Parts: sequence; structure tokens; C-alpha cells
Amino acid sequence: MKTYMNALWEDIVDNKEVILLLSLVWLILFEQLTIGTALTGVVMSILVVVFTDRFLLKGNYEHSYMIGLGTLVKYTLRLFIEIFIAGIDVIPNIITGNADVQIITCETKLEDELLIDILANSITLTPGTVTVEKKGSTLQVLALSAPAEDEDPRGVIPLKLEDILLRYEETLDGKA
Amino acid sequence: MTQALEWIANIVIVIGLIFMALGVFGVFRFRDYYSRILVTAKVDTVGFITVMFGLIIRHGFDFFTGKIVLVLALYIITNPIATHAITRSAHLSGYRIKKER
Amino acid sequence: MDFDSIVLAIVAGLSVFGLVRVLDGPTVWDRMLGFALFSSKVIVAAVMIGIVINRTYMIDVALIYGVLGFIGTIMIARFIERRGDV
Repeated sequence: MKTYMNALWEDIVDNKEVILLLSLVWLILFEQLTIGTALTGVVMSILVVVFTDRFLLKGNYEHSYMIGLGTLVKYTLRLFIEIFIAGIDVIPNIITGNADVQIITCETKLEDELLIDILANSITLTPGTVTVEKKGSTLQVLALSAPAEDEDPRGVIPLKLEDILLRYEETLDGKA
Repeated sequence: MTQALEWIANIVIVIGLIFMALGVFGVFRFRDYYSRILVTAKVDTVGFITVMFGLIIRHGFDFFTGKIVLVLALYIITNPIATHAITRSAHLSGYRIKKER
Repeated sequence: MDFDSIVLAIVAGLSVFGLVRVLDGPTVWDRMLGFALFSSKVIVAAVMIGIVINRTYMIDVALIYGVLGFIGTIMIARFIERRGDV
């Protein structure tokens, strides 16, 4: 019993940032800030996190979705900047109507599955590139203005976003 | 001050509407499916994000803004997955373009 | 007629063009693309209606519409990818 409570407490401390985020969502959906709503929000968030860890996930993902709040905010801001730059880049193609579409195979340096998925979704979200298929670290990207034959095919990946994720992955290796 | 903020918000919303209109224009501009989904659907996403930013600037800090942020977060998470599912289904079903490497 | 109503009218007009792509698309994926376009316009329109009538519950409608449109798109894509076997 005692060891079980200790494991529960460790889970809560490890996931405190996720719990904070979920409680905030609960409060926003309630549209009022009282002691009752705050308490039920925290209790529900802890239940969600603990049940997801124990019963819903089959594999060992416990350490991979604990993206820190600082990394999340930095990544989101950088993602918005990249989206707007790419969106303005694409406008001349729409007006003139010429498109030179290619499928390019390229590799990322990331190794964690969840982080590769986040990177693939970011590539899809920026205008001009869509991820078609992912197998391990290899991504097939459908690109509008593709790099030429003799250039590096990694030019289609937004490299600054990959840098943030790489820096996060280094801290992850020590924990897992 | 609030007047100036409201003007800025309205200008941002108008920019978002221009992006959305460009997206809809692009759907009828291109001939094959891959260039349509590359250019069009994504420019439409830029328009969506810009309009939501305009509404957030206009309303300031209250629960209404929080709900708009929730809608924005949900859209940013689900939209690339849906696009990816459609494109992958087209690719697996044998819709090809000439160049591939 | 104030600014929000004009924005709402423009978004509603744009959504019609998405439906035209659904009816007219040469391939089935063009139809799905038109549906994604239409559903994003509906989300914006729901939020704008919430601002015009000054109620917050319309944003909940927008949230639910987003979730249901996402599930619908995923299911149709899987259905086509596996040729009729979900």
C-alpha cells in the first residue's frame, strides 16, 4: 500500500506541468473561477494522467509526453513565425498558377517517435510542404518548391523547429 | 487606446480574410490534386490562424479569449492529421505525379 | 451593419465555394479537400455568430464541430485507403 502511494506521488510530481495545463482547460470550459471548480479540475486532471499512464498506454511512453511548458511556448511561437513566412512565400504561386510538385525522401536526426510525429505535423502545417509517409526517421515529403537535384534534400524540413526538438531530446535521454 | 487596439484587430481580421479568399481562389486555379492540397488548404489554415489572432487581440484577457485559444489549439492539432490522412490515402491508392525521388 | 456582420457574411459566402468543390471534384480526394475547407469556414462562422449575438455557448458549438469534422475526415480517408474495409 505504501509503495503504491509513493509511485502515485512520483507520477503526480513528474507530470505536474501536464496537470496544470489540463486544469486550465477545465477552468476555461467552466467559465468561472471558484475554489470548487479549481479543486475538481485538479482532481480530474490527476485522475486523467494517472489512468492514462496505468491503463490506456500499452508501451512505455511515460517520459516522452512530458514536454515542458517553456519548450512548448518557444516551439509554438517559432511555429507561428514559420507558418506566416511560408504562407507569404506561397502567394505568388497561387496568383501565377504554376506548381512544380515533387515527392522528396529525407531523414531527420530525431529518434523519439513522438517528437518525429510532432515534427511531421509541423511540416504539414507550414504551407508548401505536406508529409506523405513516415517510416522510422525517414519522411516522405510532398514539396512545392523543391531543392534541386544536387542540393541537400533536408532543405524542406524547417531546421529551426528541428533544433528545438533536438535540444529537448538530449535532456530526455538522461531521464528515460 | 482601446480604439487603436480595435482598429489593429480589425486590420488583422481583414488580412486573415484575404488569406482565406486566396485559398478558395487557389482551389479553382490548379488542375491536379497534389498542387491543390499543397497550396490551397494550407493557405486556408494561415487565414484561420490570422482571424483567430484578430479576435484574441480585440477581446483582451477573459474567458471568451480562453475559449478561442482552445478552438485554435484543437484546430492546430487536428488539421495536419486530417490533411495527412487524405494525402496518404491518395498516395496509397495510386494517385501519382511524374517526378519522384 | 457593423464590421462583425460583414465578416460573417464574407465567411459564409466563401464556404459556398468549398461546397462547389465538393459537388464538382474530379476525384474523391478533391471532394474531401472541399469538405475540410468547408468545415474550417463553419468553425470561423460559429465563432463570429457567438461574437455578434454576444453569447459564449456558440464557441462550444465550434469546438464540437471541429472534433466531429475531424473524425469524419479520418474515417472516410481510412475507408477509401482500405477499399471498403474500415
